[in-house]
Amino acid sequence: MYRYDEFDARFVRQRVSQFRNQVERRIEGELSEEEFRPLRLMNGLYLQLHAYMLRVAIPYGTLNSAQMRQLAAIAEKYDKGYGHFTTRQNIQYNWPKLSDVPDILDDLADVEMHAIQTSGNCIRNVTADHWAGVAADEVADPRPYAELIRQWSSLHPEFSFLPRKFKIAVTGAAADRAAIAFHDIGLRIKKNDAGETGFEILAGGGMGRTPLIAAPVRDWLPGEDLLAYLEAIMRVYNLHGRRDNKYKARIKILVRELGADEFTRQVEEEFARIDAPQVVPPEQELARISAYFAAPEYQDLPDDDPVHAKAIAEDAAFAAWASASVERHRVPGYAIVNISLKPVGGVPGDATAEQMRAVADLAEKYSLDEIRVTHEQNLVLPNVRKKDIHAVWQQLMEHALASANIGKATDIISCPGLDYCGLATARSIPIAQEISTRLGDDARQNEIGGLKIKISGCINACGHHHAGHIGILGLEKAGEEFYQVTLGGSGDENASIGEIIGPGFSGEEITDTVETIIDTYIGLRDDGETFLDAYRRIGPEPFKEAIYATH
Amino acid sequence: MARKINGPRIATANRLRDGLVVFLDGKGEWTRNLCGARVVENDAAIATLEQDAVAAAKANIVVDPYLIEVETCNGHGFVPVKHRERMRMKGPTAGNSLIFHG
Ligand code: SF4
Repeated sequence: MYRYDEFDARFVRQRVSQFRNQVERRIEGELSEEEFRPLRLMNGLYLQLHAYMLRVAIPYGTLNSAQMRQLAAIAEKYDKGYGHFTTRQNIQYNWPKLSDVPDILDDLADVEMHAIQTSGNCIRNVTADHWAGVAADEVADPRPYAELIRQWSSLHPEFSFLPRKFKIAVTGAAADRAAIAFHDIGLRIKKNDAGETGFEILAGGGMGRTPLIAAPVRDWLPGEDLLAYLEAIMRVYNLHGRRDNKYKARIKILVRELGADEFTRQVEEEFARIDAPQVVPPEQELARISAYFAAPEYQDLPDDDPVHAKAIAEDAAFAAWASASVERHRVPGYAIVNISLKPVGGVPGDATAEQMRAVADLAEKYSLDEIRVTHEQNLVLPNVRKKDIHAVWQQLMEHALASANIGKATDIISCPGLDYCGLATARSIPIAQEISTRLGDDARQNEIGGLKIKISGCINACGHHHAGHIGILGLEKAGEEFYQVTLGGSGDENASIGEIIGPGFSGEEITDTVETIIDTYIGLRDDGETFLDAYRRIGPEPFKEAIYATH
Repeated sequence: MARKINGPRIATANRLRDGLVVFLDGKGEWTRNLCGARVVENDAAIATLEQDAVAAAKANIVVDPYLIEVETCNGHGFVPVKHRERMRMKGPTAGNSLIFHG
């Protein structure tokens, strides 16, 4: 687990006290809203539809139990008793009072957390595979690199006024659980034949109004050149990026307009000019940071645990939950336990203070004090001994956290939409709830198999609808909410952008439409074929026919 | 803040201290309840309403004020014409937000 060093701690406290002063001056009327807005955004504070919203960074989605308890305490003390985990691996509080925010930030700083780089045209908090450090298929832990990038970007003078926000994701495995192809820069750690660590580099991906899959820029970059190369990319972007038009300001537009080859050529030219050792001494720095991410003290255990095997054999409900929620760990005798924040009919990503505390307790007792937040709005206990999984499950059930739906039809991603968000054009949460309720029966979910439904309440695509096997985009026409459906998107290592299936649907029609799509798939699938594979094989036509024939 | 709208209208904003949605009432106070909002229809009254709203923002009582169009609702009071404003008036419609909204 990364611990702040003295510099970080001082920097964060200074920022809080600066912001406290700014809030006081705002309330006293010494600062106008125009003056204050950029300052509050730098501290993660938005003004949304109904209230202020504070977005707290959870770098690379990693938390310890003390931090999770503090998030629970903040939810209770300053908010309405719950928080919302987002697709950026952050948590958002929907109801903070302006005057309380400095105290919230101080409480966060007490557990080495903050809300910096969660807003504005800067390099946003770096995201990573939520199973970083524990996944069985991992080449190397991406978090030290994510942290290195965070430190490099936080104070870099060239990066505080970028043309637009900038998002970087890192994975250390071939399987992409961090949707790197949908980021401004996506990094995949690799090893070469000599066993050296390096990176595959993608650039120019993104969602929003113009969804684009990132272009491959480098297949192999030696690890020590990482920051120099990123700096080269940022310089090319800073030079050409459009500051005059916010719809054209993202790096994806630049890469598309220059063409991937020309963009790469310019980056390489810039890279050749940079004196890499001048940028930072990465080896030394990385070693320092890596020490913080050193693996916890695992016990020496046999991989098969008889207690776990017996529980699986004897308890069908446990077995069903485990088959959806438990993943292979790289250390024998341990498992990764995913916790669904998608109760059937619930609000995707919401957790009450009581649930957060329950997860903190479980992490402390059973997961070597670690918790992860996933971009799919779920939580993870990354270090559970197999023999403890049954006990963990029983306690999860007590707190309504044991839905056996990870990766299934009701594990829906949904942004806050028009229930909270000032930019929204339609509601997304009630749509997620209705679909989840409709498909929630266990047998039905098992019949459907792996399916990713993703819902955004506007074209900004925070709900990742472009990457949904079934994507739903909420729009407004003549005062009514309507929903556009895309099919065939994917955020994994074979990333694809969903295709619009045809005219949109009203709020009343959308759940029926989703069900028609699913039934069409079930009717046409080959043995064992997933929704995405079937869609890629048969294309959109059968779905269009089924959906629009009934209209 | 000038927006081309027709029909009766009211002034809305978010309150500076807590960000909650408020409406300007007949006494020049900002109220949480749309029923209490000052509804105006003629050009002069609209101009005054707008001035009052801007003045309240300058006085740091509210943030980002603007006028919205409203219509009568079955003869009882007014509701916003635009969907977004109806949602803003109602508060969240789903889940924890309902349980905890108050
Ligand atoms: S997709 Fe749109 S509605 Fe949803 S959170 Fe993002 S900006 Fe708001």
